[in-house]
Amino acid sequence: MVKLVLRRLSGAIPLLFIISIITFSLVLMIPGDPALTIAGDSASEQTLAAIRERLGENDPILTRYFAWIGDVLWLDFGSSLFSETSVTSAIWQRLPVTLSLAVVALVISLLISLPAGLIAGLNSGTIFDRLLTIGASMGVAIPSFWLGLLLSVVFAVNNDWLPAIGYVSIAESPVEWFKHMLLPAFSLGLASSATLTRQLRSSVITTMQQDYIRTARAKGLRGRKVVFKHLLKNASVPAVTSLGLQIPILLSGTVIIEGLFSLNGIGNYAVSAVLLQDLPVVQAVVLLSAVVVVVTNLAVDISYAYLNPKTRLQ
Amino acid sequence: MSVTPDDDPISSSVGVGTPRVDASGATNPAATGADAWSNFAASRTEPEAVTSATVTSRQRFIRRFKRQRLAMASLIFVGLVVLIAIFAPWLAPTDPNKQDLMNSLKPPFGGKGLGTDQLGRDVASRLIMATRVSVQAAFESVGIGLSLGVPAGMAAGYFGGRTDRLIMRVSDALLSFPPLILAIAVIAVLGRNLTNAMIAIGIIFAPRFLRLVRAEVLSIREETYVEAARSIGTSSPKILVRHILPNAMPPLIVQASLSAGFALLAEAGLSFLGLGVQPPRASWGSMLAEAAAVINREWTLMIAPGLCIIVITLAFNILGDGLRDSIGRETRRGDAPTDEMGAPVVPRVDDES
Repeated sequence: MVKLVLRRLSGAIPLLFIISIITFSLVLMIPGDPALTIAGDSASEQTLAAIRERLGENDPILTRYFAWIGDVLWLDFGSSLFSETSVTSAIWQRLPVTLSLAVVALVISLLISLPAGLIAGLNSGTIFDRLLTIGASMGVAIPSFWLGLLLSVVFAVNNDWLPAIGYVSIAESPVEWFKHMLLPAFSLGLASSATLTRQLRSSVITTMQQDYIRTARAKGLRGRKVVFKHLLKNASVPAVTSLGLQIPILLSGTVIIEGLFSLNGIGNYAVSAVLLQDLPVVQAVVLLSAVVVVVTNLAVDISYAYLNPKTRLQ
Repeated sequence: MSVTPDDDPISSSVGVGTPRVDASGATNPAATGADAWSNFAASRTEPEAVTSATVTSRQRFIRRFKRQRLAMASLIFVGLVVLIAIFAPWLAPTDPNKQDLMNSLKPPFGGKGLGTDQLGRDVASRLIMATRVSVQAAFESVGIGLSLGVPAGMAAGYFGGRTDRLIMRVSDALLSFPPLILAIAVIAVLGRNLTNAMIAIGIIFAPRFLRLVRAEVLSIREETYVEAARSIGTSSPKILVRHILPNAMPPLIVQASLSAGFALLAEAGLSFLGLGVQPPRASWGSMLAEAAAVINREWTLMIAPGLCIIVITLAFNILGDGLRDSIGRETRRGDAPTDEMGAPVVPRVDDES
């Protein structure tokens, strides 16, 4: 088990290296002159040269990469091209917002999909299962931002039930925090819950056909015991993969949902940086989100070894 | 590559909502080989035989597909939407960008079609014109994804070794970026417009097509007919295009259909953020953004564009699922997890391949 973890970890290092190269090379892809973008068209040649010097554009590419990655390893993403503030501290400041949103969304999608997938899978073919399956297909196709708009209309515009904008820190008031998170997190999490429901349903159906389930039933085990003792762990392998896959989807979703609900999180920060072509910010968000995904995949990989001993053997 | 533990891809075929037609699924791999043999033999001598062999497997596919009513309906619907997109300028009742500030924010069904937006533009006409953007988005981004992913996937699978490792590493790295975040980064670099948004989404698709093609190539590479072609001195590119690509087509088509659904959603999302279509051009996403701005005055404006997005995304997804079920080969992955673009994701248990 320890060996497996170590091997997975060492496998992640070259991957992270290539991710960093791709992220860095975003700078090289910019058509036009970044210095000109910052200084504006009317800037003098000296100003432009000074900006280029500051951006390190006169150095060879490899030098620039190593300078950049050297700072990044110490979590220093440089400063924003426009506001001159440290990108790292700006992200750090916004992290609680995005984290709250993603975590609450994930919890909501689990709360929906676990019972829904299990019930649909155990009762496959019934009306209830059909309805859930149709609902899940719909859930995948509904854009999160449209759902967000609809929820805002129902809960905030036409009625005064829940706040549709802003963020309250959990330290300040847990109740207000939760109220402010509810609409955006539900909008963000619904598609995930639909995917997870479908996944869980089909793995429950497959697992229920396995010989060991038949054996367990044949020896007289009660239905509930079969489900909890034999079914869940085995059916959870594909479901865990699916769960891991929700992380990049949720991170992607925060980019849109934060703007819609006026949450000042990392996604919102990234979008405004894109509008300004503020590349250090974009690079930081891209790199960090990829690192989160790599770490999630590692965790999923390692969880297989726990859930399915077969994968431990090499 | 590896297989999800505990699930046999054929026995697990019950796990999806639509009814499956299973009969020939198990026998097919052998049949493909035989088809390919006759294909190969025929390609040297009588060209007519080639067509007859491919027609049989195609007919089998069409027969299975036709039995799935929902998927058939989706195909017809998608076809209709494409027609609407092509003829949009002639179908739109009025100029979609013509402003009429005296008649702004008219509610739907109040006399004039679907009402007007905050600039007094006709909502129905804008919706119809926006179909164009969405269909274009789907085709362009899938096209870009295919043209980047397919050659790279074929090279990785066919040549193996160092080429394969390098390509797979880059593809794994690309797969590690959350899709929309990678897209906005590409847009940050290239600039805001629809084409760049499509390039960005195409780049997201590429590694998914790549993996699919590579897996197919790996499974076909050692087939006797490929070996035979190689032994008589057929060049690698010719083998790839003539003998391997046709076999990789069915899963690619399925993936393309599911990707098109994602592309629509992504285009809408990017246009909603103002990173896709630029005003005054209408897209369902940008229309939603405009609706969001006046949500306190006229909330009904958001309904129609959203329904358009949902219905057509649903159609592409049902179509993709139906196609997948009709292929009836080992490529049906049963309940193997797929990502939001419908690409199968296999847990990586050290691939030694």
